[in-house]
Amino acid sequence: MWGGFSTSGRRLGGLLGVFLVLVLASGSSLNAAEKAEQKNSATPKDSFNLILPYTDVTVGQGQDVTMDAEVVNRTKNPVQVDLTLDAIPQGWEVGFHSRYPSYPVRSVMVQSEKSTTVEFKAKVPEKTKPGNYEVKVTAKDERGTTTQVERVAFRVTSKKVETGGLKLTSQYPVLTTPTGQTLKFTVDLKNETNKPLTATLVAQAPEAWSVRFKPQYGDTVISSIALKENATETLSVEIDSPVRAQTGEHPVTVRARAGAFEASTNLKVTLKGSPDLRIGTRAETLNTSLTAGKRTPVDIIVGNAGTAPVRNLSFIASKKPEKWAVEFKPDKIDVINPGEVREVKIEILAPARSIAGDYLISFTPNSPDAAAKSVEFRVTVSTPTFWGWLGAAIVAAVVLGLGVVFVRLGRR
Amino acid sequence: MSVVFWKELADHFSSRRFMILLTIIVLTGLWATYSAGQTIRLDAENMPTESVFLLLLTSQSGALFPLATFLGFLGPLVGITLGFDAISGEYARGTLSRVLSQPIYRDSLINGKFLAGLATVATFWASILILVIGLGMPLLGFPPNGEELWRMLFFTLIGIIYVGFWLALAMLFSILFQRTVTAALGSLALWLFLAIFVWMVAKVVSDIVVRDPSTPEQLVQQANIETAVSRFSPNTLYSETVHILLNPVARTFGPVLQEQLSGILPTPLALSQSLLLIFPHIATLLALVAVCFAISYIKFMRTEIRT
Repeated sequence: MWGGFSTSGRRLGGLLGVFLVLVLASGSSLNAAEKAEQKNSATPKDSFNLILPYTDVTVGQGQDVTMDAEVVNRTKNPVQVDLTLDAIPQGWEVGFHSRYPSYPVRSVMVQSEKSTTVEFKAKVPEKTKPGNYEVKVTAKDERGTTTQVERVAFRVTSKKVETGGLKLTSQYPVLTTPTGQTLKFTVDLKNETNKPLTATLVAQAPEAWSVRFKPQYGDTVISSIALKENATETLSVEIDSPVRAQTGEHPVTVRARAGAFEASTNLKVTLKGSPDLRIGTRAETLNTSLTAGKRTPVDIIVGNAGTAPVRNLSFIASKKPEKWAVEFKPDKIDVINPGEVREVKIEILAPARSIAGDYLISFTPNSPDAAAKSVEFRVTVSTPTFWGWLGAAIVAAVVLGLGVVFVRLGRR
Repeated sequence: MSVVFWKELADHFSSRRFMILLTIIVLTGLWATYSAGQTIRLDAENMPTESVFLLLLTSQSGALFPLATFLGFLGPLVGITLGFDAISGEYARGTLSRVLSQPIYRDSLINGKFLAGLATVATFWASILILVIGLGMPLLGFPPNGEELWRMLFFTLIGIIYVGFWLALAMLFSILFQRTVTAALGSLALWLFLAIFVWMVAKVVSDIVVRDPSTPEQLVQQANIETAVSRFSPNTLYSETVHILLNPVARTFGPVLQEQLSGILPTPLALSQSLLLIFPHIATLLALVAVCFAISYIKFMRTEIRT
């Protein structure tokens, strides 16, 4: 009895005077009085409220649902509220977490007439079948005076639900380049939440392509980036297309992920073929020898090692010694398809009075498609045999003549 | 006279010292030509094909002198070798009175000796030039054109006149001194002085006349004085003549002011214009030969030969 009284007195010390009057009353009547008192103090409100802002959520498979739940103390005393979760679908991870630092919590103490925010997190596994699910949240005052039950309905869909949070956009999502080149996309990564986030960057590209993330200014390759709340960072995405890639469109998906938030954008690389004109000779040498004054043909081969045709190809002798004639036969090639090799004859005519020795001729392919990379050709002009023999004959004649003079005059 | 001429010619062509000198000069000269040709071939693209045979004579390759310079330096030696004992040798051997006791005029003797010397020089110089052409054709790949041949011909003529001066000088000394060694040493000393020391003298004189030149005009004046003084030497006359003759582009002697050159196109001069430029030089050289020979002639005609 006294024990019961003493406990009551401790709890309801402010009403001691009333209890002194009723000191002789029975235990049951005391209990009834106590209940009446409690009803008086709590009504018209509960000791606390659990506020779950969203109780009907549409979510995609594998996505997370987070929301800030609030526990509000309605009394003038601190209240400890136990939070329990029931009817969790199999495989789901549902729980309450404290905010910063984030720990899983099962109960929360709320100061008098204040509120505490906890984070409600639900992770829907990838394997969940689409449909409606429900999670029961029970919040109970430690004393058991107030119990609040909330039901959170999840409508799981097979399609991902844009949750916002992170946003990845590209102003120019389609770029065109010849094969084997490096492309630079610019993407904006926006943190729409009011929390700082660290986003991991991933790219999905065709095989043998390489994708690098770089800050807009600077040359460091990054794989994650820290974003302040409500901040936008501009990143450059460098994509190397392989030389041997097929021409056409190639999609590249860029993804940023920060915890539950995920954003992606589709970039498209349109590869157009690049012609690669190669000029050489069968012997792989770039020299020839000729006799002055004689038209000399030199065979060269022109091939296209690229992925696009070379059209309207002609040649220009961009550097040749004065008075030399350099002609190309044929002087114009309509088209060289990729992988095709053509033979071109260069006819070189050095004027009769050209000094024997080495000369440099360079000719430049002239086509709207191919780069004007000139080819240097070394031409050795050799003495016409006639003049060589004549020279030798003159020398011999002089020597012979002197010899005759010496002999004839010496005999006198 | 022809008897003396042929006898002297035979003597020259069979004398050992002339043979040795000739061999040295011809071989070195041809080597110079050959290496000049190789140098030209290496830079075939940038050579003017119009006058490339003349380049064989004037272009320097490595440490070797160009052929024209080389001949200008050693040609006098040939002249001196041929002339220094023309008369004094006869004195020394005591054969002069014996020769002149033959039915030969006295002037025929000196004329024949001089002409024989000139003929030898002409053979020597022309042989070298023809050898250069013969060597140049396989080296360069084409024959010389008319302009080049004419210039080479004039080069040969000037060379003969130039060596002829030294021949006449050596003959003059051989008449004046009568002793062979004195005549030889005298001609060699004069050759050394005119070939080498005249430049120093010219420099000293120009430094004395124009002290501390500061303006371009003064520098030009100093250079002009230097050139004028050095032109007392036939070596200078020869080298200036050859410079103009074998470089169709050249049109000035010595330094000129930039303003004098402005507007001149570097086109080659016609042969006649080049010859006009060097005509005074050729005339002077001819006059030198004539004066030397005339003095020797007069002296020889009046000399007592039976001593």
